Amino acid sequence: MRFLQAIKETFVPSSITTRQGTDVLPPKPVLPYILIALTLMTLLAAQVTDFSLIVLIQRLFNFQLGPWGIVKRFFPVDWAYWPEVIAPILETIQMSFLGTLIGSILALPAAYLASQNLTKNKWVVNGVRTTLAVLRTLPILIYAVFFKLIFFLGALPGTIAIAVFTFSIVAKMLYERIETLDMKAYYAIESTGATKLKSFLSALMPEVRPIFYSLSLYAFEINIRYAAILGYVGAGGIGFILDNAMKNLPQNTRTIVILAFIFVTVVIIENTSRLLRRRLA
Amino acid sequence: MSDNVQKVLRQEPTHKLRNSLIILFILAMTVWSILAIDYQGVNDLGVTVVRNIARFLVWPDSNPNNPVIAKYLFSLERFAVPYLMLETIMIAFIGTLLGAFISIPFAFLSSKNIVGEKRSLIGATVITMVRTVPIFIWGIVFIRVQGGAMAGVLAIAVSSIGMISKLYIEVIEDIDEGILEALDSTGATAFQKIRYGIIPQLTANFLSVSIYRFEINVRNATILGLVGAGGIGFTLIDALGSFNFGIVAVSLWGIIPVVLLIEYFSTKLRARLT
Repeated sequence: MRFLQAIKETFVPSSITTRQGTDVLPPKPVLPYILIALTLMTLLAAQVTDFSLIVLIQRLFNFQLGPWGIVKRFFPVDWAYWPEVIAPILETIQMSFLGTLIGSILALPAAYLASQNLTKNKWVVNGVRTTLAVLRTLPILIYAVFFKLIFFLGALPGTIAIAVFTFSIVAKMLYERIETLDMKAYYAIESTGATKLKSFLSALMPEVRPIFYSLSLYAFEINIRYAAILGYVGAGGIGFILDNAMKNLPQNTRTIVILAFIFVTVVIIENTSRLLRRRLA
Repeated sequence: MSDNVQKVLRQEPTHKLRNSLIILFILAMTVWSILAIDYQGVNDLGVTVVRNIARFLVWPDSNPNNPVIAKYLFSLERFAVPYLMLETIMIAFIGTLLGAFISIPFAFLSSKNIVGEKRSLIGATVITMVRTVPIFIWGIVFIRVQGGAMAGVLAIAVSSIGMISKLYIEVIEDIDEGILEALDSTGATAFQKIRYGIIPQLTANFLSVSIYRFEINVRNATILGLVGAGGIGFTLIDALGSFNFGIVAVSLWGIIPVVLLIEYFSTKLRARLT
């Protein structure tokens, strides 16, 4: 009975009588319900994905057939391979840079059209926002596969895919920031008879510019890591040799060299970008 | 009055040299980057591809010989879109859940206010290493545990650790220690201090981070199929490659609304949490 009472208390706590004699009803608990929902969801997910902790543990400690079997083949690391990694990693950087540049520049007018405080036409605002939201739903890799069909293999489809992705996220983050800006200077200039675009350029642009640079740098940070996998579908960059190194048994020892190059590149770019962004803020 | 304004304006540093150097650098980078691209014109098939994708997106059954709506969009078979999307979401869900739990020790061991400035660097480096390994590598490695969706779950979990623990660390380093001192003064035990002083400060933010990552993971889970790690990715990428535009269209009809809905609810939920 005590047990049942405890269960009832967790879901519907009974009122507490204070020393003054008033009854106080404690707040309705939500946590138990959330936990139950999460557990059910997890069970369903485990069912759908065939996930099993037992298999996981068995396999993790099976050093022959388990994941360690693959990792073991990466050694001894073939460090002599490094000169051949330089060209693809540079291509990855080139693709990310150009893609980020194009995407960010296109994002600026899109953000202007999607900001409620700048564009008064509801249809335009909602139209641009919906387009951006739909573009954001697909990962870069899918765009890369798509553009690869239109253009030929190589860096071009990858660059365009990165540009589309950058466009969709930078424009979104930018219009969210533009909407929080102080509009007084804008209205002041507009009241002198300046056009809307001119008022925007002289009143808001000085504030938008550092935000825009910062967001573009942030997108560049993200893109460099996505660009590393575009080669898997033949859209240029380091992913191509990484895919080959993983697929061909004799080349397996090259994997760590390539990963090390990606690591160093990402660390250098992220730290430089963060330094710059801190100065912009 | 106007003269004074002009004078002050002229005294402001203009950063002319710095700005032109930056512009020069960006221009140089742009020119260098364009060198990587060898434009060979538009593929002969390109125009057909675009036209067909547009046509099938509007009406996936545009090819009368291969009706796809009934067979792939409204069917509960395992090869049809609803099941594949369910699988994709579930991979992301359980992967994020696992990643969110694995990240907790990682984050505590890399927080400056817990282990000190120097030792936190070790943790931060490990986290960065895990983060820079592309998701496909994790997928391929974990296929050795079990092919299909479970490999996807593990790949999502491990590749989430980087971002989740980085954001966790920010939350942990923001802990208000005044609350712990106040609890100390009431004579609370270590366990009570954790239960009433630390956990309430972390839960909401940790949850918010995990929900945000779930949103990203759903998108990531749509490409894992490329390496055989489950989800809708294989169907979509394979159909794109083999010009099976009907399947491409129904897959996109599955992905786009689902991801939009998840993004919408995730934003709503996170706004309530913080």
